Amino acid sequence: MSLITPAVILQALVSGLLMGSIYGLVGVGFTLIFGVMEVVNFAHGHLVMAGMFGCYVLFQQFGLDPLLAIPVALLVGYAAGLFLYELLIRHVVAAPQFAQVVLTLALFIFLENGANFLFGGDLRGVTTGYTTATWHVGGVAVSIARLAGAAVALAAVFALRFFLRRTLFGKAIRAAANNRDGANLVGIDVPRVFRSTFALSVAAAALAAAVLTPFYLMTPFVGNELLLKAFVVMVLGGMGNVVGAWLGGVIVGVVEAVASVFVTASLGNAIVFALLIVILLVRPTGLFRAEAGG
Amino acid sequence: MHRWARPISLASFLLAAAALGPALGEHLLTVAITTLFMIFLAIAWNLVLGYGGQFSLGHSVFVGVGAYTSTVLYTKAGLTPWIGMLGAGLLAAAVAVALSLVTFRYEVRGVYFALLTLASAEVFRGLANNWEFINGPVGILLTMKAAPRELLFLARLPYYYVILGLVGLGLAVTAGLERSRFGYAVMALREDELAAEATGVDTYRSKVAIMGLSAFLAGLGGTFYAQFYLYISPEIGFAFEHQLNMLMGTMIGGAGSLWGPVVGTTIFSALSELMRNLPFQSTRAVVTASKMVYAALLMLIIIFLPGGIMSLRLRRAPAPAPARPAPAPAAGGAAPRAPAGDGLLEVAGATKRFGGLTAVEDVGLTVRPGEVVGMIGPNGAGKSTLFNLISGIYRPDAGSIRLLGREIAGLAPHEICGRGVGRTFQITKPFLNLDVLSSVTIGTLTHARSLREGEAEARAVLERTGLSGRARALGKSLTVAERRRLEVARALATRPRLLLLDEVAAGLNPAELGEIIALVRGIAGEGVGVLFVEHLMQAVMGVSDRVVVISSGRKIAEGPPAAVAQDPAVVEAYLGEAYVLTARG
Repeated sequence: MSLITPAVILQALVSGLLMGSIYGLVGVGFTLIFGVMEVVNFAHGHLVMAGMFGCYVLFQQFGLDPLLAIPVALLVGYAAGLFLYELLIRHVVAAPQFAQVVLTLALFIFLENGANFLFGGDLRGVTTGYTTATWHVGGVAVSIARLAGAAVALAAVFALRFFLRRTLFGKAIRAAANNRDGANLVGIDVPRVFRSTFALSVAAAALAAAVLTPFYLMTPFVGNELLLKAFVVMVLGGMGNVVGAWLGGVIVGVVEAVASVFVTASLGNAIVFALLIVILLVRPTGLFRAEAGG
Repeated sequence: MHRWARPISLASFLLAAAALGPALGEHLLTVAITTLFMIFLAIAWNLVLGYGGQFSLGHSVFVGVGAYTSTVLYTKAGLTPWIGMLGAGLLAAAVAVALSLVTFRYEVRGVYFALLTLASAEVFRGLANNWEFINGPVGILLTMKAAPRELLFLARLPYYYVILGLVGLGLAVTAGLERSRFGYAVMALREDELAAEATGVDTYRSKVAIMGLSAFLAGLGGTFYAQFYLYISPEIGFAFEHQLNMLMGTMIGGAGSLWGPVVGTTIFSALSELMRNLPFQSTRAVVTASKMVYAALLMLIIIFLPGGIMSLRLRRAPAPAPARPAPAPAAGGAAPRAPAGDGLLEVAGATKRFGGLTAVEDVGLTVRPGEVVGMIGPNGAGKSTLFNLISGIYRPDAGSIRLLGREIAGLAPHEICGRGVGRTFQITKPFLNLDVLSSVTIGTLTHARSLREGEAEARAVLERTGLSGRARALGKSLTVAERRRLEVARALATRPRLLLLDEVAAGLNPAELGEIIALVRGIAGEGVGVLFVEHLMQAVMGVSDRVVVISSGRKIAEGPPAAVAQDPAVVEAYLGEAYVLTARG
């Protein structure tokens, strides 16, 4: 217990804040689909996982740094999102909720086993020039890789917010989220809105994968934990609330990091999920206002 | 289906599987054991999802709790797992009941319930990893030995018979559930929680109980798992893998059907076996590749055949009406025990606000036994809200609602139904995947002593409401008019003293309207008080003893039909003030 000094706690807060920003990015795509289409994508964490393996291959085969691969990740993610929507999701957008859960869980199983088939179950990581580099600021070590990831995540969340608030298509997305039939009546192409929203969400997952890859060890099973993190982020932030999701991510990151100081890391995870259960029980609309694009 | 069909098919399946056991080689026996284990867990999960309609994704918790319970009792206290297994089931059930009591109390539903249970599995895994008493992440190892009394065998065949026995138990429990009062209640809540409540089903207790039953079975499965693999750890016991296997097997085979989990899981194992013949490098490659194929199959099924493979069976032809005579006493009628002349229903000062909107304000109302009271008013006047207050769906902000002199405000809808209030819904809420006879039988279970007795009474109610010919039709196949009749029949089956009818005549043709009016008069003739909302003036005027007019949440007129129709306040509410002036001028 004597190991817990103010400096240690400060360090945990900083690490948690940086990691939390990235959790926010993982959660943004997830909350966006739920807010707009009311579909819970249980494969979201596994889409991030798939993106990480994609970045891993790019790095190992072509020496492409994951952060430099961001444009590729966004493009491939968007295209993959369009493809998945056309192939699978569109069939269940209007189906009962349980069909959506089962379909996205099937995608979860497919991606997990696909990665396991190709890469095996061992931990894998990418070692870039900055993977272990840190800045020391007033006794606190700031990981460069995490700082870069957190900054990209923050920028992406606010870019998404700007897109939803200020552009015509963004407004169409928010209109469709607010009232599907009403949006249809005023001439908004709702299926197109859904397709693009899903593609955006997968692009966000791919972006999260690109910024996680330099420092986060991957296995085919990492998607499960990321999915649960995205859940907590969505519930904390308010369903569909983009900036709320980022704040939710920060809360998750900080709680997890501080809990790891006082108890063990594995229990820290359990505490995050216990937090989710409590919030689902007492305030299922989230801590912040629920609104797509808010 | 013949009543012996289920037991016979079940027994033949078990006998055939038992006879097959010794013929299987070492490898196939192992495959059969793991398949039966997955089938058993899928059967347990199917009870909650397929029958109860609750999407639990946390069933690996119950497997893990079960596995640890019997293993700890065995390794630390020397208790044989044969008995420890029972403790495993009970503790898993206790965990499920505790979890359900809280989550269902807070009305967590649908994907939120799925989410919450999924997170609870992670919490349990985290706790197990940090609990030294059970060796944390290291887990507990059992010694490999031949000790039949301790549920340990060197050969595979005994394990095969143990898990086959458990599958038999699971199938018997499922088949029993399908033909039990509890099962009917659970299936009703799966179809429509609100309608189930209004038909007298305690949905909260039923949800908790089905979770407990399902977790009990999953706990037994946990014990088998530990004894067969001789090892238990947090990562293995609480693995999401168990949950995914249950989901895949159940969904492919068909949720809510007895054989669904058996069919779906068997297909999965057969597929894996076939894929072993392909030139893969390793076992991992075989397993992951077959799961990928299986996941793709699951996607196809959910898109093109959401009911699973078992839904492909031809629907059986409607059973001919039985020759046995309908029971004479109280054929869906009332309990005419109310003291004559006394108020049956007495509403005083009832008020309900939604935020700033007062939907019902200070409304008083009386219905006497055998009296038909019509309630009219413009759209949005608060008629349905008043119905929801009386039937307990809403709790009034002020005022009292008494039935036979006893306060019922604040009771749950099923309790109010039990006290003798039956109701229909304006937007009909049929149990879509249950047949008409079963739907109406659920209503009789508020008082019937057995399912058989309830069914006999339900047939009499169907006779009376003109639905006899549709007894075996599913709720989703009914026409609008039939759905309205079903609403009335289901309410009538609960033997109400007070019947609340919400626009049962809407959309009916004149002939059907005449039948409904005759039916309402007949019901009232037996001493049942009837309060009914209707837009069709012909219906209201033709059948009511008294008419109450509601406008903007308030009662503006009351009296005999003819007098009310002339009341200026009523004319104004319906047609506007100008019309009143013109009419006077």
